[in-house]
Amino acid sequence: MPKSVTYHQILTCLFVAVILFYWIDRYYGLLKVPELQERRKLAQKPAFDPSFLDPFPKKYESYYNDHFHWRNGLIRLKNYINYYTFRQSNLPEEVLIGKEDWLFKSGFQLDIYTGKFQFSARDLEAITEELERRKALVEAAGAKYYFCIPPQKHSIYPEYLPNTVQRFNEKTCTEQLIDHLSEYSNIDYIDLFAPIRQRKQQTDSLLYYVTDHHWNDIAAFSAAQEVLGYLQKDFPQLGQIKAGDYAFNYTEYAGMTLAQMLGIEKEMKERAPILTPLFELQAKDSIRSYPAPHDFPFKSDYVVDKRIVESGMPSLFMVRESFATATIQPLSEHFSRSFYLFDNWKHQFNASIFEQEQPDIYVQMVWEGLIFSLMENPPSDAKW
Amino acid sequence: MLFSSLIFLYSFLPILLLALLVLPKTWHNGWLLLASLIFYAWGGVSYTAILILSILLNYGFGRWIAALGEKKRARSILIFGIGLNLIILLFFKYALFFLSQLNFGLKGLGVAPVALPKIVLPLGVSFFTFQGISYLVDVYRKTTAVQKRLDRLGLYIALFPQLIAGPIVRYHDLAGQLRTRNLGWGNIGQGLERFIIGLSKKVLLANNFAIVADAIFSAQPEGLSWSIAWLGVLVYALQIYFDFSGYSDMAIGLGRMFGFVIPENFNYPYIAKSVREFWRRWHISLSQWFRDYVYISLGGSRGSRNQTYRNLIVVFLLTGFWHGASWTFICWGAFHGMFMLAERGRLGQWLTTSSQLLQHSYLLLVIGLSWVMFRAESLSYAIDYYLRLIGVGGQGEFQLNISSFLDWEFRIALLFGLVFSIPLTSQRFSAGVGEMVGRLSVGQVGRSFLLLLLFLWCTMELANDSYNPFIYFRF
Repeated sequence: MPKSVTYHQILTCLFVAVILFYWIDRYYGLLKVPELQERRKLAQKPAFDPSFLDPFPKKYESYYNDHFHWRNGLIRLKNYINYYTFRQSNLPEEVLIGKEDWLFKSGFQLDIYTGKFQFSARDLEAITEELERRKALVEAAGAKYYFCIPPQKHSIYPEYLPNTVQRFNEKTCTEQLIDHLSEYSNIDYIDLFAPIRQRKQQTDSLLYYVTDHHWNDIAAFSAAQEVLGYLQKDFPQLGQIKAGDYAFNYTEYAGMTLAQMLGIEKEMKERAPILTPLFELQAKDSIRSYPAPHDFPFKSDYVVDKRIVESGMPSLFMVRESFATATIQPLSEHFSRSFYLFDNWKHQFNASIFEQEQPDIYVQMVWEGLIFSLMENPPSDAKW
Repeated sequence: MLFSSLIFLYSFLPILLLALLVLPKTWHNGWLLLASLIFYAWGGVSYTAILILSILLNYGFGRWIAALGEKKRARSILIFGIGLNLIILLFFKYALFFLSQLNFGLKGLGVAPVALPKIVLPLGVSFFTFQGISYLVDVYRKTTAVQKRLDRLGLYIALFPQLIAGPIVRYHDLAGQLRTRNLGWGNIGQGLERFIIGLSKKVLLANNFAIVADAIFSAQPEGLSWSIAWLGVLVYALQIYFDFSGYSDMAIGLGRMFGFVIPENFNYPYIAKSVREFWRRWHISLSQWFRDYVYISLGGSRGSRNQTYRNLIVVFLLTGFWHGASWTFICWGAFHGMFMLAERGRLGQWLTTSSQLLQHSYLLLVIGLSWVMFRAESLSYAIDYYLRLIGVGGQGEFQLNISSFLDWEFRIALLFGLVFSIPLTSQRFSAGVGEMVGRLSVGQVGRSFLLLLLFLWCTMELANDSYNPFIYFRF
């Protein structure tokens, strides 16, 4: 069908109008630019070096794309369309939308849950050898070594995963490792899976955030109780964390990390329990600190050092990650010194700091979603 | 630079068009040539020298051939010129392949292998060398006059809409337009419409199919069930069609915006009823190029039946090899050539007496199977994949789970993909419903807004491609 000139004029005018409006908006800011919580440094404008031009176009295009004026608005729009129309993640490789709007970390963390990722026999031996080596070093210094794994949200609330998620293997790599440690090593492994699952059965409260990958303060409190309970076998003087000494007050937040990644944090709400002590805390912050790695984003969390003056209790050294944050308060009340090192998700032994601190107890915490970090050479797609 | 990039859509194209509207007509070729060189340089600054070399080489040889009155000497110069064009192509595109084959042979003889040099394939080298050859042959055959102006020949070879992914424009199709062409509202509007349709095919359909096709074809064959393997064939067939034809639409649309009429490259290939017909509908400009400059040069179908068969096989082996320096592409070409020959024999006779449904089914099966070879990383992978298609194997420990890819966006794209790969929409819908509303100003405005919406939707998808959030801050 031959189309009239008028039709083509309308189309051309509309196209010109869009392009013109884009540039006017860019310079005069007519439309509000929504925020995006992308948590990365956007590409910088590259220097123009006439003597070596080859890398310039690619770098400039990255800069152009990152600073495209309508970028944030259009990404938000795409997120909204995906979420409200299809209940579908805009970042399927990062975030999975489960039943009742539960958000889960996908990618490699999902592969861990489904059992798609498995440790080889060699991996298991190597990890066990490394943990045994650490245990020997700790014991040589007169201390005791313990190892624990906070479970992924998938492992505790699989019923909220979408039906499309299928298990590849009966055992996850975490279960492979736990079984291997139990059979072939003397590592003191503190099981957090069973008590958290048990707590889930006993309470109507949620133990994990709906819009985040972390457990909440209720689960963290249970984990702290379990850790201390286990340590009592060797250190009976530590006492117990009594449930009656604490309360949980609820606060409402906007959607947390996974919702922020999807750009729908304002649309999702999180009702979070906050652990509140019902007594005056004895453990006080110490000024002792160590320089944080330059690329570690949470510098003030790198070291948390608590002390109770004139306490005859043992001292704790924990290499931890964000899952331990809510355990710090209840645990610290039971040690003369408790030192928590957030080692940039490296999960290393951190020998030099350990030697300086000279604790009685060393606890290594590795979140299940990062279990691959114990391997010497993790798979290329094992990322966070 | 890609047409489907934000920098092209929101900066390069508007600046280029604005300048064309403002500059006097005598400057248009120069401006377009400059823009084409910048466009090309964006994909590899250093390799622009090869494009310029190709322009100078073909300009010089064209003048030389034209200056020689004697046919025999002109033929020698033509062969020399074609040889130089092919050396560029062979060096950059095929040197590593030939050296790898040599090393394979040397390994068998127990001789140390040759070190493989680091060669980066310049963008569009397969296209612009073929256009250069087209020019030389057209001048030699006196199909067209020699181009005495370097800027015009440069523009023919480097014209950016078709520089990266075709269509391969034969010189005699464009020669007149290099001298004079119209640039007006009508052309800009028509070009814009075609461009947006092509952009939508690429961004909204092909890119969605690519996610699933990549997931399937990058999986270990042992992890593929027969149903997923067939889904891979379907999705890849749609991906390659909408990707390639989308790019051709964008090239044709851009050409039209600048006043050029670039020939069509696709005509609903999946509705063909034979492989022979398929090649009259798929990558038409490549088929025509091989027909005009290889098949006819070899004698075409003028000789004996065996000579015709030989010519066909040569053309299809070269067609396969042109697509990529790998045995999979050569086999793909041979596969098509084999069916072309078979259709000239009993298979063809059987097809003509069969029902249309059977003819279509035959074509889709043959083409679908051929895409496995085209997409596979190696021949052994292709063979494994064929085994999965017939249900052999595929019981590996890790079964590919593609459920997370089969989201609503993909399902909608699949629906549109299936509908738009047949001419139902363009002929019946457009000619029927479209004609009814097209005459109405409301319909025209609505159609314009629909296209604009598609353009903005593509912008949204492209903006979203750069979205890469992290759980924790990474500075």
